[in-house]
Amino acid sequence: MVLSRTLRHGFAAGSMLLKTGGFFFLLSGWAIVLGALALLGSPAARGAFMAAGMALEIGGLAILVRSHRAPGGRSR
Amino acid sequence: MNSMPGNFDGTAAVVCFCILLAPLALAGLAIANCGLGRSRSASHAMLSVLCVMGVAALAWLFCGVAWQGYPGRPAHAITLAGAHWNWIGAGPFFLRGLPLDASPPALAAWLQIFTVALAALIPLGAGADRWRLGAACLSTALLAGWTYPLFAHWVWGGGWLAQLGAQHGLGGGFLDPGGASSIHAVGGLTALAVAWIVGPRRGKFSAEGTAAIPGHNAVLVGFGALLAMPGWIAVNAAGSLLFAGATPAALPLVAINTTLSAGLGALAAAAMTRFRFGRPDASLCANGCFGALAASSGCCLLVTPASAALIGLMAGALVAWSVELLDLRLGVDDPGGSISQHAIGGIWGLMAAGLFARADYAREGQMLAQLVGIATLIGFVLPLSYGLNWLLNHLYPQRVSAEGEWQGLDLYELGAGAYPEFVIHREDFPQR
Repeated sequence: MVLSRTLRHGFAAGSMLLKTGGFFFLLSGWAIVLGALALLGSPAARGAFMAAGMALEIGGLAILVRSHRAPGGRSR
Repeated sequence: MNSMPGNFDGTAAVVCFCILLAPLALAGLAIANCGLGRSRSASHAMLSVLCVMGVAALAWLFCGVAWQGYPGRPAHAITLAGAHWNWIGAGPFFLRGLPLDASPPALAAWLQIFTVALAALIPLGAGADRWRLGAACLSTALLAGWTYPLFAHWVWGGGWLAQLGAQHGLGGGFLDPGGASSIHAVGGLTALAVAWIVGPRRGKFSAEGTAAIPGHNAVLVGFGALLAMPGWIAVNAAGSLLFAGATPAALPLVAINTTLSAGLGALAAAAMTRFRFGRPDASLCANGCFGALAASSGCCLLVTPASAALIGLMAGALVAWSVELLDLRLGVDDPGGSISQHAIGGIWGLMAAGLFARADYAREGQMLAQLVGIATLIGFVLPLSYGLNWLLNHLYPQRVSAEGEWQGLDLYELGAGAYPEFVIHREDFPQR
């Protein structure tokens, strides 16, 4: 009983951490895209940084999907 | 900018006609979402639509119209790294200062009473069968009062995304004539946030697998797709005239592209489900049709009919695949397929606008401008929508109680069912 409660609490805390991390990745990716737009002039450099920003966003989305799934595949 | 291209009076009359047809898109989406939900929540689904429309109109007219603005009207901007970043409208609240005549800002305000409601209906499909009526209304107030106007200002109100061309040399700036981003992707990403926050329906996911919970009325779903089509054409046409500088001469192209895209989206979904399951799936075909309509909103004015057909085909296949992916692999319970139709379909349409733009719109850097808009949707709008709904959920729990879900939202929240003559509810669904 205690073990299952601890595990559940651990899962919830880990899930919260994952969710926070996922949103941090999303916002960071967007900030990189905006930074590339504001600070870089060359189209190649801009394109490369924007691609990196979008890759970070996709990573963030993947983390968010993972963090919203409970062990049984259940979305929460 | 108080002038409209072409003959103003004639153009205003065309815009008015299109706006009058726009509610068909809402009606079509509403009854399709109703058909895709359970029969014991059907009445609740339709009442939610009516309430959400009212809340969306009120919130948008109260403060959204001020924050969204219109090109040439007051706005807040900052100057950073030598560029001008116009980020939010600065008009007075509750329509004060807006000339209520046939001028473009007034017509845009009228159109957007419907488009903001359309955006607000999208999350209803994802939260079907377990989203409380009060929570849906409060969530809509946040969407229509803040998220939608902020993003729509960036795209349609002369904001920084619209000025990517002038300020940063990226093509003609972020292009979205029919609202694939501001209506569909914003609504679809909010639907994802809502689906995550309210969680799946009881019995949907279990250790044994994922239950297939079918919609209760496939006829409503198909009829909804058909009914939405003229409304969608009207929204795409009005948006092209008001926000993309098109003249009425471009409207046949917009209408042909939207219709082609929708038809081929349904066909692609039929072919895909025939290939995947051995038989075409009626509700997934309607999902494909809606997804292709959402995609067409992003590019209806910008591409040739051949490209529109290809974009619709891709959208239909993508949506059918994505519905299955979200359901079976990613554990997201979205009964109406709203996330796939509107977020995936809309984002695909925005990308397609950069990939397939006609010569008039295919300027250097256009694709990058479209990608900046998409990055903003995923990197800013999704966290914003999630954050607002998360906060709301802590103040006012959004999910109905277990008892309410078991009873059905019709009986639990409204006290009467949609189909009192038929009371057969299944609790056991086959696992997939």
